[in-house]
Amino acid sequence: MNIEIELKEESGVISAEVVVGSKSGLHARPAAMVVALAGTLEPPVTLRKPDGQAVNARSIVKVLYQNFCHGDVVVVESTGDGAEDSVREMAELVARELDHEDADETDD
Amino acid sequence: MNYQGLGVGLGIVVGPVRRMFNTAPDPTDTVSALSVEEERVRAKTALESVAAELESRAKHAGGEAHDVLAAQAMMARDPDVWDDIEAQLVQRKTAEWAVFHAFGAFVLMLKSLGGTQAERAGDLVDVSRRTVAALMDVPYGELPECDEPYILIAEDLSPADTALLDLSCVLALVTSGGSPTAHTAILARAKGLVAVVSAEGVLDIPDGEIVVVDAAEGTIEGSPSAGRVAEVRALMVQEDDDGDLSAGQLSDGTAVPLFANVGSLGNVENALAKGAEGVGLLRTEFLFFEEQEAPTVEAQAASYTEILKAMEGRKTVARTLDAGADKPLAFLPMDAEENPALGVRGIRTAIRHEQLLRDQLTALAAASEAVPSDLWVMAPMIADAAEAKQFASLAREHGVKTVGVMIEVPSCAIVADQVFEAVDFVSIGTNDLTQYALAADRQNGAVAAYQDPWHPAVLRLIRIVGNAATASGKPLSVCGEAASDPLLAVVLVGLGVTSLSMVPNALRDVRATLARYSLAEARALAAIAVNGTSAGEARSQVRAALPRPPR
Repeated sequence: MNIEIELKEESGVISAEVVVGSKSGLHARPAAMVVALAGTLEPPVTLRKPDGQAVNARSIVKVLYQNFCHGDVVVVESTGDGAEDSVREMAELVARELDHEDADETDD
Repeated sequence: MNYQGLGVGLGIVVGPVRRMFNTAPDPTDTVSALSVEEERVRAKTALESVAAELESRAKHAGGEAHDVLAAQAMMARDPDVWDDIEAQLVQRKTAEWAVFHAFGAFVLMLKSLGGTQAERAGDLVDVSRRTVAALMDVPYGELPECDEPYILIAEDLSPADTALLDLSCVLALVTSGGSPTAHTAILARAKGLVAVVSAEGVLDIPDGEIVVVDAAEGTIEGSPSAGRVAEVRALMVQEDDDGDLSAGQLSDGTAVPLFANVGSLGNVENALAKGAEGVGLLRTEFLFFEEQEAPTVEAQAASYTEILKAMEGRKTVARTLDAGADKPLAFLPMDAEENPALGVRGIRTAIRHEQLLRDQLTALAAASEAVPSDLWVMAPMIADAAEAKQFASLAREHGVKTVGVMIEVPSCAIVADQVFEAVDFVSIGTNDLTQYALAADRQNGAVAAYQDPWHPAVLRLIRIVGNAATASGKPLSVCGEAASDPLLAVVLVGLGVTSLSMVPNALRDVRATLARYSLAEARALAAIAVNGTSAGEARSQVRAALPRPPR
């Protein structure tokens, strides 16, 4: 699935708005994938809800605490040399479906 | 010394104890005798060793346990947590205190969110304790080596712990905490392991001591005599050989057919090998969850036909697609809901996407025509008789012969007499019925203690349905976790339930227990259970009133 990422620039800050694609939200496995990618991105990126405070995407506890759910809008931001690439890579990951479904044994 | 807890199942074993430590002492807030830099090195080294250990365990674990462990390794390396640890260290705190304090603040934040985030808080607590234990040089979370089969004793076991357990090496699980409905007990039932939970004091039993664990009595017997050990060993051998696959019945000969819950063709074989008389719950979600598009009628019919073929004419109860905001599908975009358990799920989803339901019913009916079979079809999350009638006419219109509904919503239980007029049978989903009756979200660990189907309110709702079943002369099954608890199974039959469906590994114990009591005794026990004032009281009063032991 290829999602067109639209980058914005405002006073040196590169940003993109994407919708969380994972059914379970950025919890558990998807959150870990976001943090793993964030660790490789230079310059680093932050994540926030449209009306929220930006958090370090390399911090799993902060990403979990943001409680990004399926369908939520996430603002990915970065500054500096190569910020466009960092933001684009992270935005693409957030928009993707990162879950793998397992049947629940006792769901009735 | 003997200990009393709550048994899961009926098994009995004897063997040596191995303890798993998963609590660490809370550090105290004292001024460090070391320099800030020395404490910084201690903290960093401990966190890194914990992260490396979790990472290596993640590599060896599969599935969900891998994901949990990998995320935990990231927590140990979290840069923002480290900033908070450093902030403590520069105030001359010890590394132990700084780690404990920094993680503790984030644990509270995650807990405040509830739901799955609260579970992640448990993972964070575990990382914090591991690190503190490493700093204080005390044992933590080590799963015992398997030199001989052992009885594992722990405070409680997390899913990550149990996923790593070599079950072939575990004779029994004993926990000082936990509850009969929480993860450890569910795992024990699914795997057919002997288990006793909530057994206070068991962490004091020294490693290597020989004990007898009797799940039927919920006891752990210390220092058993040589005679007792020999007696239990004989019982263990006998149980291993126990190939009793007879049909379920009470001591007076009343038939209580025992069925299995299965989620795919692969599970059918195991269910039949364990003596299931049919399938009481075929979850059809497996056909949908992996798909980017709705499966075609032909593809569905082929899958159902394969399963019905494997069932060789035995009764098979298929549940129509149970999806919703709680279990979303890739091809059915659903709005995120504040409260998915109370939202669009089960039949509510199917009614909104009627073609999906029509296709599934067409496929099910076609499969039942294709091979000799006995296919029953039911819908989940029905709220009342009108909805039951709506589903029944739709199903019959598509050629389904035996139509039923699940009763999981309290409203539907209360009007069960009306519901039975609309359908051929009913199956009670006790897990959801319990969550709704007690207003306790099953996904929220903070209210897990409410999720106990022994609760008299749940049993009284089942009694209403049971009375309606008896009056109508139509079959009533239970296919939730409750059916796999042998004593509760007896109570359910006493309330008017006519068949039970469960994880295949629970069949043996339920079959054995049902055979110990007559219908009159089951009714007497049910009358006691509904008069308890709590789930725990209902359970202990029924146990105390048993005319003979359950095994």
